[in-house]
Amino acid sequence: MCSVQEEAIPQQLNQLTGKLQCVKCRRDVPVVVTRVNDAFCQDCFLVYAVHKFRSAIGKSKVIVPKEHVLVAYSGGPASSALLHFLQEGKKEGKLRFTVTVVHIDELALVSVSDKERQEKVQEVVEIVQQRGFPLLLTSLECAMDMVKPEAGESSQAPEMCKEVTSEKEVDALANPDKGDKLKKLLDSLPSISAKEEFIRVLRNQVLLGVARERGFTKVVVGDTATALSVRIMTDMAKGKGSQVSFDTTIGDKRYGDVMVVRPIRDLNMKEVEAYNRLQNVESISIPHIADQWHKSNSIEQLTAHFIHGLQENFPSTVPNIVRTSDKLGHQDIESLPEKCSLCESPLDTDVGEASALRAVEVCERLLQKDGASRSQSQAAQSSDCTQHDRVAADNMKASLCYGCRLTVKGLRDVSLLPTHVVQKSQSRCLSRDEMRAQISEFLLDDENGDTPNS
Amino acid sequence: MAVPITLEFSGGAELLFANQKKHSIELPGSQKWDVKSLLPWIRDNLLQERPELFMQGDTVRPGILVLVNDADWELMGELEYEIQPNDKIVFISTLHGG
Repeated sequence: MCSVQEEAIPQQLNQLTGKLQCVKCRRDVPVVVTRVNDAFCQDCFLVYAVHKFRSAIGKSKVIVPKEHVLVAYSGGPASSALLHFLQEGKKEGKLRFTVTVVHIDELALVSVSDKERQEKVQEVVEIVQQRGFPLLLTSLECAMDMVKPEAGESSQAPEMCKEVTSEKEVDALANPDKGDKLKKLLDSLPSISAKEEFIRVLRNQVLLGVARERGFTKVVVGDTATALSVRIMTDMAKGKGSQVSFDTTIGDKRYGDVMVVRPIRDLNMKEVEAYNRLQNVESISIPHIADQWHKSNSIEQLTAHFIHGLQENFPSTVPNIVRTSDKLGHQDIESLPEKCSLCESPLDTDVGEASALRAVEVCERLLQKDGASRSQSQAAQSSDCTQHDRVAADNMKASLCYGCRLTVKGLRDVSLLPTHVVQKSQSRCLSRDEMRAQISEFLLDDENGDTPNS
Repeated sequence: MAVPITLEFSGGAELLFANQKKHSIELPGSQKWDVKSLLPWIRDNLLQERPELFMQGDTVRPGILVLVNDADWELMGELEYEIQPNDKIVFISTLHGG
């Protein structure tokens, strides 16, 4: 780790201590310091925060008037602030779109009793009803079985979410079977970084699934600038660099039919907490699986720690990272029809022969060969089974983006993955084979040696 | 003369203090208390687990927001702020995301 904290850092404190005036109105006593050295009084800060939220939506024009959007609410401080912004907008009659809130219950992963789980969901319901928005409830384990309904048979598919109409009707969409399946899958992922990444992808899948099922085209999420800057650096480290620009724009169009909107991406975590404090916005602390892993560090946790440490003394860290990623472009989505079966980002694996990805693959193959010759005797015993598994694994790998390949790397049995992911990779492979069969008579024979041998 | 103050932990920081958000305490002794001496006192007397998630060196861990009487502690002199009777000091963890 970089030794940021130990370095001598020029003290800026003296300028701030004892400041008696707000930088904006030059009248009231400041209570919050934001950006580099700007001390705001309570009123000016609230105006500033609301303005950032509203101008993000207004300037980007991603939400058209009268649209019905889905807002993701976890119970945490950022999405709680988001709901409060929306409620305030609605009160003033300035909100030009209608809102339905969705909450994903993730407690299946944490060992809590059913009663405790119910209570937490109840808390969420109360807050959302207080804000006056309709609520949909769903659970993370739904993502284990999200078969896309074919046209015409959509009515048979089990619903992914349900409406909460009265407070008494709350029983979470807990599904013990799927929950166990999900736990088993997570247990078989080798590293904590992979588990975290996988949960994040699943959460995203559930959001998209609910949006599609209910016919929403926009999903609004409460990603703060701080969260995004951690996301950007983590993505880079996890081989998801090609997705950085999608992950951070205000209107994320990578999924085609559903757009992810991030209206509070200009606010950092400190501003969100200060806003919640000043407005008495409640948030719920929900036990999270990552809490159980605190002893061993993941890429994401280390990155977060690093960025928080830098931000402490260099308050322009977070905006700098986010702005830099704003400048990154991405390929036109229409020109990239193939999507990763897991995260639905455009596939980044169709690259030339002389690329880093190919080099990594060659190295892996060489390592495997080496290992295989040593354990040949063991492999021979169960060759039938492993052969079949390997084909499935190879098909799966081919249908994933580089980042997701790394996430599921080390997973022994790919059939543990969510049903829709397995199906997608199979159908992709089938359509490839069909295509190959159709054009087979026009293909040149590979035996002629025109393919370079690595 | 003991100094009575209120401490509050939120945003996930309460998890380190047996899930209790509000603590009314009295700082013992007759010496003057500042935030710098308060932090180790909290660590030794109130903190239940994982001190590394609360403190780093002699200050709070980066990512924990400190408010003194509802104002950012950066405005109050951070560690040098001298604690007055009946002060309210709030620690908000911003590390949980949301």
